[in-house]
Amino acid sequence: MTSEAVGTGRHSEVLSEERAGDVDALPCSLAQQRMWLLEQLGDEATSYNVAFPLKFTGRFDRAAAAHAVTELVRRHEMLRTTFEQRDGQLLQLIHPAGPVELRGPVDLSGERDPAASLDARLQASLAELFDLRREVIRFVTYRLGHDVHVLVAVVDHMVCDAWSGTVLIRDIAELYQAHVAGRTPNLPELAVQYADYGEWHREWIAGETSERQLRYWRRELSEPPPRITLPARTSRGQRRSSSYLGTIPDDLGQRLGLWAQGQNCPLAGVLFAGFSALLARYAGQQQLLIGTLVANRPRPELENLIGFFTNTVVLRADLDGDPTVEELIGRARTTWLDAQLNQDVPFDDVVKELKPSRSPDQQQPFFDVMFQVVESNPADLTGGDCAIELVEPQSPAAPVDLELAVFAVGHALSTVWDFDAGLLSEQVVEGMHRHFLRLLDSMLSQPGARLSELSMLSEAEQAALLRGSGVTDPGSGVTGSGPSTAGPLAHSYFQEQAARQPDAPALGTEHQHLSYGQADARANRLARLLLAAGVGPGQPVAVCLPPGADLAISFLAVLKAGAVYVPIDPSYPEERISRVLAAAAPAVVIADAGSAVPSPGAGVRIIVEAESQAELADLPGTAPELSSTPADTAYVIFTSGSTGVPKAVAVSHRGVATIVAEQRRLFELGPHDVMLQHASPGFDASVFEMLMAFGAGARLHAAASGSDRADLGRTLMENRITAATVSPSALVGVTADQVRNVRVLTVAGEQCPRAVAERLAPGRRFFNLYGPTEATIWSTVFEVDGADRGEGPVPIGRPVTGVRCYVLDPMGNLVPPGVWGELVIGGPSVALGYLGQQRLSAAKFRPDPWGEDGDRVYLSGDRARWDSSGDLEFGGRLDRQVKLRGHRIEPGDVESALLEHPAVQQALVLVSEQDAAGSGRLLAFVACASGVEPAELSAWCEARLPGFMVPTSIHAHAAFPLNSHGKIDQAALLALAGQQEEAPAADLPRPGLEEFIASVWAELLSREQISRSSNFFQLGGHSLLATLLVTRLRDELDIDIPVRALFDNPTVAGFADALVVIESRADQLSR
Amino acid sequence: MFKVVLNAEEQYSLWPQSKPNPPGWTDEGTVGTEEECLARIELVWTDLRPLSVRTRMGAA
Repeated sequence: MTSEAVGTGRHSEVLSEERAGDVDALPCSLAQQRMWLLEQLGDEATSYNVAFPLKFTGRFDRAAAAHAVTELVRRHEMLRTTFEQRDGQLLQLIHPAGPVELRGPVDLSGERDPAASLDARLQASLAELFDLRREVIRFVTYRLGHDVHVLVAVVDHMVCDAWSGTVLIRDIAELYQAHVAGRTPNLPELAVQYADYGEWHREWIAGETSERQLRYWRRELSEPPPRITLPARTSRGQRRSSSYLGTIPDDLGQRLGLWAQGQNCPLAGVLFAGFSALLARYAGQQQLLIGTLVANRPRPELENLIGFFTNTVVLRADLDGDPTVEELIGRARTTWLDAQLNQDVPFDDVVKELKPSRSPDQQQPFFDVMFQVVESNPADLTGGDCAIELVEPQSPAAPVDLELAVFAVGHALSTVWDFDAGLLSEQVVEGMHRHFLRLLDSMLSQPGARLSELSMLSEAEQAALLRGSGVTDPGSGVTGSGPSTAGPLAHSYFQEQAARQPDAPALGTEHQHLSYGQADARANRLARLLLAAGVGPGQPVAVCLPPGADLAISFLAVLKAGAVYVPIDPSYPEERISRVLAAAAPAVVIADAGSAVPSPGAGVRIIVEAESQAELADLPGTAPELSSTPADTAYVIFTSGSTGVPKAVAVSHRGVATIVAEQRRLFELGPHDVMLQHASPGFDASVFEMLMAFGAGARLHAAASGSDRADLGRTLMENRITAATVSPSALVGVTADQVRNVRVLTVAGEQCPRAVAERLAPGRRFFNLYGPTEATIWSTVFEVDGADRGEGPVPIGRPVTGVRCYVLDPMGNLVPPGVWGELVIGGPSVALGYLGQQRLSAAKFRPDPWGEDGDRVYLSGDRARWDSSGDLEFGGRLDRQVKLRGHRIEPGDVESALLEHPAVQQALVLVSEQDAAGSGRLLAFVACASGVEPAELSAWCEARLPGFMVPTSIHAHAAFPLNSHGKIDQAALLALAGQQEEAPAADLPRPGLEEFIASVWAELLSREQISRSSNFFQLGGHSLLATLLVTRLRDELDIDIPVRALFDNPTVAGFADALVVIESRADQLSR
Repeated sequence: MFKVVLNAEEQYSLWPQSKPNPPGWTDEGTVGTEEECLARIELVWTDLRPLSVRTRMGAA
């Protein structure tokens, strides 16, 4: 800051022609212009009033109070200033001093609860907006009891800030006490007034210091990190301010104060470090932008003024590289002090300079979270026979998602959390407060620890989370995946059924089937043939068969031979089959008579069962004597890797046995059930189907051919299927009537839309399953019952027995409920790894932090969070997260919003290839039962999502194209979208109003081309440019346009439409 | 910073250097970046199968 004092001369030479009538007319300060703009932008329900209540206990002298307020207003020009706009300029008109009205006392002492009654009146007075052309302050007294009075000053934010409150209270108290005591008040006349500051500041802005400060902010903010995403509700509701008041234990407050001194850091800096550590955990990012208000009273002569000085600055918290607590404090201290040093340049100038992109629903540029520390010393206002104290001031919450204010009176600390209740629940905010305290406490006790080592959760919370994760007795470990030779194998349950009920149908149709005994004998003979062919223990055997009895027999035979089952879907392209065969290097391939399996290599035998009948008949039908162990590989599934190189996931017998045990426990199928065999054999859902039937002794019914997949409903009905596992996409065309025989319906493989569950769950048990191949098919389950569970996709539920599911932040800490993290899966079903890819295996399979005996976990790469009922919600792939125009977008969040639309059955959001500017576009695909216009869905998204998350285009389909795994064929969808893209010419502004608006935008935004759908704010427009634009159009078109109209209709086309509506309304009024 | 760790089945993985190992995991001796540790694992972990399986198969 410069050292020149604020000019003490009166501001009379400015606009002196206005001096007539003793009213000084002066331009407004930049801060006032900013506040005025905010008030203009707000709707009528938004108040910018602040109420300062002063409580008088003892004898209340009304005349002294009236004198005090009159004298207060005389002292402070600001309180007798009004505002007017003239010729596009905002002026402040300073009126001569005169008597001031003190209303009341309003007697509330007769009310049942006078305090509550006062509070209600305070709220009402906040809502009662000022006409700034007439007045800026009101005084009212209330009588609460015989000797309790409250004097309330309600002030418009244009003329005060938090600091002003302290000045106002001090001045009133002193003026009152002095008047009662009959002495001269100890308040020297003010040397300067606010208007002096306004002029001085304007000159200062033009100077060199301002440029230097701007350089600082350019450095700090030119590449802003993504905005903070808090654990929000599924969709954003109507904005609603709410507060949570938290206490900070005395000893923690004491320790914080002393520690801050010891670290040579302002208390605010320490608290900021703690708050940024908290937000980093909640938002899962290490770079954060947090807004804060600064006093901006750079000269001592300004300290006794009432007026709006406050400026906004952005704090950039940097937690990269897992710093120690002391390192973090050092960084926070620098950030905090540098922000204070560079606090004078108006925030609007910073915004103008850097033009951060934002959507109109984002109330602030740069940040959605604010942080404030309000330090004060308890003032003694008591004197004479009356005690005066300041009651908590009431002011409107800042328009952000969350604001934490820490109040420090000496060492006594408390918090006020103002939050948007349309976005965050009180439960979440209350949790944040507790976790804030806990983090601060950990920071104090372990200053040398790294942030990742600090505990945020209490022991009770940690224990509860671990219990929910499936750790049955935290610390004592019961799973154990270490060496063990005992325990069931993948085919044990089939053997058990074959022994117990040899005559029960196992494979085939109702009338033509193999019994369990027959199937067992055939599998045993085939197993012996494999052994005779030289297959040794642990060797891979490729099975290239379509769904059917032969596939199931081969599966069992390979396991019985102690070999490893490697399924290959024969319908795959030959090239992929060749690649899998080359990678698997099987000892033997089992194939169909008709199929043309590419040569697996020299010396590899291809067994076609039908051609080996004579050989098989000579072999005994009893099981070969072999002893696989639970740690042995049961099967290998090839999944497509992101690089296109297939990954061979090796799954153990122990993992498979775990899954079968849970299927038996949960689904309770029996010999009378008919399980559909339907999944592609190359997909582990196929193994799941076989296990589900064999574990229960049920019959496995193969869908007749590949074409049956297209008519799942008919297949289910005609074959009287009672149990099936399918993808939700496959159920889209299936009617409730077609599933009338189905007792157990399980869906897996994709996010399950609520509409599918609601339609098909009644009348049967309906389970939503989740699990990656790397954790043996199945990890969590959610049973849909009658109870309505709100909105969004169906949760994926809880870990299945024996399985552990942790939700972890990037540092490996458990995250609290509501916070997104990575789903990390442990327990006996964790796969052995990727065959031949040890490096990748070590990267994806890590030590289980809460395991025993060398247990491992699989890092799923899936995003999940715990909901308030203890179920897991699935949030898409972590690596799907995209960054568009500086915003971090989860396609899963956009899909969830689309799925809430009643007509939408399925939703998929993809990012198009990058355009020339290096930015992709967000494309949404929906499958709808009934016809719904993409425009309606766009509007639906706009009402629920921030602008940057609204898809650029929405493509509706009756049903999604599916690939051979029964999953949505994304490539096909993108290709279809490419064909549907409109020609760019259609997006040119229409002649007339649209063209005119576009030309003004082009000028203001320094752009050559503006299209019809261009969004003012996405092109770098900000609130100041918005007013400029509106003023320009007002003048040129002679229509009174509220600035709000642009925020509501930020596109050229939308804004043009809005103007037409405004004009026609104005016409009607003038008629 | 990470370190290379292995369990009794000689399955290799990574663990943050600053944290104590979970039960059943011992240090292999390599400390470095994630990349350095993975490069080391690629060298030393030659058979994905658990030790108990390898031993039994070898004996059979």
